[in-house]
Amino acid sequence: MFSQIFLFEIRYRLRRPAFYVYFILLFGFSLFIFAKGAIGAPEKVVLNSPASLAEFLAATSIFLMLVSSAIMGTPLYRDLEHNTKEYYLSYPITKAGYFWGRYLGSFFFVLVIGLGILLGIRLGSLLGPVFGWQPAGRYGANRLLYYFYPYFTITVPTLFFTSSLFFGLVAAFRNVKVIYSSGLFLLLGYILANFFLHNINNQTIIFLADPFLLNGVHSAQSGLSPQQLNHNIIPLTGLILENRILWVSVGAIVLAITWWRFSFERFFSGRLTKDRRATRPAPALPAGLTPVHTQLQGSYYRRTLFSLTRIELLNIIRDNYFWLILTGGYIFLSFVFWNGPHHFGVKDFPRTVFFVDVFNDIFLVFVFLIIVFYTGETVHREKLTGFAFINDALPPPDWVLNSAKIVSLCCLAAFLSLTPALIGLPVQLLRGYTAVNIPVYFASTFVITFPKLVAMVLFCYAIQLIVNNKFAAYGVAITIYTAMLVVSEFNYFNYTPLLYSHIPFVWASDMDGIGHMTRPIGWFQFYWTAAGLVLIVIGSLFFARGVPRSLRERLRLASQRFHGPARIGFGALLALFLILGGYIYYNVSYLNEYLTPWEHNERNALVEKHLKQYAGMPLPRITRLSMTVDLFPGEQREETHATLTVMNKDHRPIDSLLIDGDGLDFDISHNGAILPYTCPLYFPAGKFNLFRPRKEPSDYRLYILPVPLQPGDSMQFQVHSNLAFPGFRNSLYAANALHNGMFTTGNLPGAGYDEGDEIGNNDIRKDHGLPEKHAIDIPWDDSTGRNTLAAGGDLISYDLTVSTSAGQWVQASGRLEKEWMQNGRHYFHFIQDNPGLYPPAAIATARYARWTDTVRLNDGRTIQVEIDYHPVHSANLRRYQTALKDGLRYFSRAFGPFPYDRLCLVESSAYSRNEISTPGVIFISEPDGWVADLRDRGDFDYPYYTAAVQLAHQWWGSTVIPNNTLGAPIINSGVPHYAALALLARRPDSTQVQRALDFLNWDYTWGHRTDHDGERPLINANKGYELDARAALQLYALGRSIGFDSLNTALRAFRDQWAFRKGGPYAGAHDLFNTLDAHIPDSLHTWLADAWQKTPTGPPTSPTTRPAPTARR
Amino acid sequence: MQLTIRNLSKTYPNGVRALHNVSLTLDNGMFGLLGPNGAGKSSLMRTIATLQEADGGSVFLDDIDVLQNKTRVRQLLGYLPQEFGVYPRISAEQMLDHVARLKGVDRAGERKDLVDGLLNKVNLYKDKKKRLGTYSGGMKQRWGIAQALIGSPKLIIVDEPTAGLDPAERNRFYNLLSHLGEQTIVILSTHIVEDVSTLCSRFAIICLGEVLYSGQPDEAVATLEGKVYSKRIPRDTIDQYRAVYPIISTQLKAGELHIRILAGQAPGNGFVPSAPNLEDVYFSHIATKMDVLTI
Repeated sequence: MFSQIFLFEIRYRLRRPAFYVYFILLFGFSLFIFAKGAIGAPEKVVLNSPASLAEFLAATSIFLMLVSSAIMGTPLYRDLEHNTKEYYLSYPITKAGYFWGRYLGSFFFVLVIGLGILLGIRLGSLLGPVFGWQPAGRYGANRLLYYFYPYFTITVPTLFFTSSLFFGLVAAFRNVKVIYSSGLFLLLGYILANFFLHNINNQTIIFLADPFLLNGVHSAQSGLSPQQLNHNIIPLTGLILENRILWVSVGAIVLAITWWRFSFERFFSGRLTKDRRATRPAPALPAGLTPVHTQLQGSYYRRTLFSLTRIELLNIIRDNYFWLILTGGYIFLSFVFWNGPHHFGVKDFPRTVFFVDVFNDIFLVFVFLIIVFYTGETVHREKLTGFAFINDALPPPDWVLNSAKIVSLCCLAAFLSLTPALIGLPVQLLRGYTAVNIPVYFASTFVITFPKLVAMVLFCYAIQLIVNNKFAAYGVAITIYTAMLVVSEFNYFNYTPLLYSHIPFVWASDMDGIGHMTRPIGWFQFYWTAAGLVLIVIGSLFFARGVPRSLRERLRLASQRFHGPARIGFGALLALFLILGGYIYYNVSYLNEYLTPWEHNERNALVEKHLKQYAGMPLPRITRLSMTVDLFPGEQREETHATLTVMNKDHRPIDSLLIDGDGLDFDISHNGAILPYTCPLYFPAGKFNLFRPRKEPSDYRLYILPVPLQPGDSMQFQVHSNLAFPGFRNSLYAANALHNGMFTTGNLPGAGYDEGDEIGNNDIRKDHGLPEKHAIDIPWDDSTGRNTLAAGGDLISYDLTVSTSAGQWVQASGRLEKEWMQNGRHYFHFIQDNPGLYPPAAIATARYARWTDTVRLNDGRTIQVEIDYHPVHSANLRRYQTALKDGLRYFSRAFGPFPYDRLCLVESSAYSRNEISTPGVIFISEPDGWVADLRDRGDFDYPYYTAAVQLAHQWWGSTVIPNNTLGAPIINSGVPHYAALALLARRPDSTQVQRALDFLNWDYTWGHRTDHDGERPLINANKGYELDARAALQLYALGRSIGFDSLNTALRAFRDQWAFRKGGPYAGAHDLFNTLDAHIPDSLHTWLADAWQKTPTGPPTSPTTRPAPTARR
Repeated sequence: MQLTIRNLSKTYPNGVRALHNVSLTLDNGMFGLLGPNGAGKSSLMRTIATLQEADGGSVFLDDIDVLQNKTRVRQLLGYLPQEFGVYPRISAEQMLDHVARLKGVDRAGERKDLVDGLLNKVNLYKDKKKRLGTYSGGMKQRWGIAQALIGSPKLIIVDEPTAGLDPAERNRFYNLLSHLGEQTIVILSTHIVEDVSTLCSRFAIICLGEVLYSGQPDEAVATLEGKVYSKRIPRDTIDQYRAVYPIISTQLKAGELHIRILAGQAPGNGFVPSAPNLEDVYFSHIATKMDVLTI
């Protein structure tokens, strides 16, 4: 009996086109990805490495889940749907035969479809080099183990779980919608793990919550060396094993329960509905019907539309599964919203901007699937319920029937787009957070989410009409949507006007809302809505009313219907779509240049090929800079008039200059005459910019100086530059030119060829015909390196006048000489001439709330202290105030006088996303400590700590500035971190410094673990974790040993020796080491030499061999 | 009103010829469609009900071209399909109110009276608040009847409407239909020949997509006057009789076979004349197309 049913199932599947469609889809997709190298394997990791295969198989198992839902949901449901119960119940079929025959027969096909992926990968790795899409060297050995190990450890267990779950649920609930809800819940598990992977490092949740193990694979492979990734399979141990056991067990339990509870009778009979009222006596004989007034014109359409919409909405909201899916999603979202982002183990306030960003970023996939499912249900509702023959013979015309369904789905979309507010507001209130950002809720809902969901509705609806088969249309819609997501996420193809429903990227922020991106996003939304409507018109041509029809009949009908109103409507909508598309094209590809990711790299490569010859050219150094910068935040425009005095500090005369315009519109004058220039490099036009010139000048210009600048001579130039953003672009642009929170360094073009701009990835270099590149270590005694600054430039005398719009305040380096209003604009004049400053200096303007105070230092000086912050972000103001005051007092006593007259801490926009220290001005971005929820007293006061680090930069980075040799950046990264630790150590609460040490230790341990080149002696450090975490911990260990005051004395001496040098040599790591060495007791010389000059074998330790605190996070 | 069907033909993509040159003229009153399973009754009714296209021919309701001007027809139509489902989560009353709106009954008070009246007529008034998903087969069928009668239809098409109804309900429904038939065209398809003879002023017999006969039941029966003979025969002799006589029906009663044959004159051999009925008409026509022997 089993074999017959099993074979029946096999034969049935072999006749179904769906099987072949799924197989070919996955096969083709895998082949494409691996042949084209779109897997995104890092450099030196071959495309078909076991690591890539594991990750790919885990990722595709999400798609296979959908396949398994379509396949495993039907074998039992089929018998219900086709009403075969009468004879099944009468046949001599055993329960075991029926149950296992159906289960295994279908599961077999799920596994076979999964094999299509392996086949695709294998063939892809063969065809990639054959067709020259990828060099042969990008592929490694194709060992069977690499293919089948992940197949059997990742794909098969996952599929067993999902298949058993779906099979069991249909058997238990006799309904296919239960599959949607459970499938979506599994996806939520994945998203949850993904969220934790990126926000809160909770390994247990990352590994266990994700039934697909994608995040687990990701986490297990992060930090491995290319060598390991190319050869090692993921061992089935620990949390990986637990994940597999967990989900396979869940599948087995579901299957066992299903089997145990399964009974033919119950399954086929379902809930019995008895006609209990059959015996009620009939009322009196009915007479005929009284005629009623009917109205089938005019307001009829409106009323009908309303009535149909109402019934459709009732159908949706009276469905328990709808609420089940929604509740699941909402619980998940509440959890994410409640926990929010963490920094240093401290939760942020539950901010609206985080809610809308995280919703639009990760949760829209879930919403999209809800829309996909409910569009299918809605389009086919009459057919599914059997109401079609009645409904389709009713008077409303096709357009009314379709419009009502679309309107209902748009109502659903509107409701779903309110989700962030529905979940967010309660979370905010429950956490006692009242700074609810209503405008951002509003903007995000109506500018981003709702139109996007409407576009999805129209897309899914049209596909349902055209495909006319619910499940097949799901497959088509999800495949197209996923494909677009994949190509854009992996940066394979990102031309937004060709990616349906995609819009330019934006971060919502408290300071600027969604700011200037509102306009481009709005245009794109109109454009996609028009596109969706065009799709709907096309789809409606295929609308099947009445009996099911063959494809040929539908095509004939479609061509018949394409006349009169349909043709006019189609024409009008197509025209609208094309006009909007034309306008977007005009902005993206005509006013601006759009380049594909490949073209971007190609241009970088062309620059390197043609301009690297200028790399060794001597460059003049700016010694005096006087400029007027006019900022127009509302118009995203900046205009600069600068006078530069430059000096030739080289030993060669300078007769020509290579200038990098960096997107600026500028000219350079000398003695009132604009200097002529030639363009040394032209680029071929981007292939998406059809109407732009075929040759685009690069940003580089070659100037011949009117008279050569002799060594030691100076010269004056005038630079006039304009930064403007005409139209809008393919994605986010002008991220620093915000309406509120503009940030600029003054818009001066750069000089010389910058090797830092070269492509670093050697695989990409190879693709573009460039030789391999390896980081070059400049030894500590290299004379050019010692005489230049790592950041370029030199000490300059700085005079700056800035104007901005009336309601905004400006902050920049230097003492504020004057602040005034003129012609409705707000002017500021800053001067920093003694001792001058090392570039870059930055300028910020926004509508700030300002806190000002003075701090009297023990050398008798009074320093102006100011904090400029977004008015809403005052929660941690006191912590920043304390940090600035404590830091100023302590650091100036320890490291020498504070070099400037004033110190400002400024909140910068969400796009800057970190801390920046410029002379006298510290910038800390909005999502940083400003929004930390530190109401819990035991938490780490990280705003204090991070501000202290940045404040220490005023000495270590602004006063003493590192030269361009190996290890020198310790001076402006390790030393300020040490300084902040020393400051924290003075606080009465000793847990604070301990937490900072824990985080540094964690950074160090993580860096050390993932450093495949091997850690170097500290004095030769060149990687982030060595330069800050290791150096800071090493210095702290020394301070603990000899006393912080003694260490500070040494650092003070170092500072005195190197402060504000106007020319080389500048300080390097050896100089720091030598100074330290000279200030420590004799007994520690060996220890210090070992600690700094030997390759470390473990975490930093103090001389007493007491190990530094271990990592804990 | 008058419904004129001319040379209507339809062949399905799988080659089944559902309708072949069907021509009929229907006036107000009840019109019965008789025919075996697969005869094309439902295809014909669905075509008139605007649910499917024809390959050739025409259908006119007065001067409305049914095949082209579907919306106009739908405004005049009441249709009860042979098989149908309902939205399980909507109540009977709510759904009927919805259908009434779609049929253009726009005055709320009038609509409420109409819905209540109909629910009363089909004996569902007490269950009107229940969701349709909880209805039994018979209740659902009665709801289907109610919806077909909303909005004063001028053309009512009911496809085997009494399936699943008990005899009392069936009578109630037929009474209602005959009443309506005074001012409207009612097309009724059924397997039950007796229903046609008692209810319909005109009828047609359809088999394999062709109209074999159309006319009034009485006239049809009259044509067979004196031509029907019957006899009781042993069961195992049926093949011998079959070879000789045009058997139009057989009936097994208590182990003996009663056969009825068509004959121009008395066949003798123990056959006795029998009064013709509509069933004889039906079987005599069907027998020209297919084997009607039921044993």
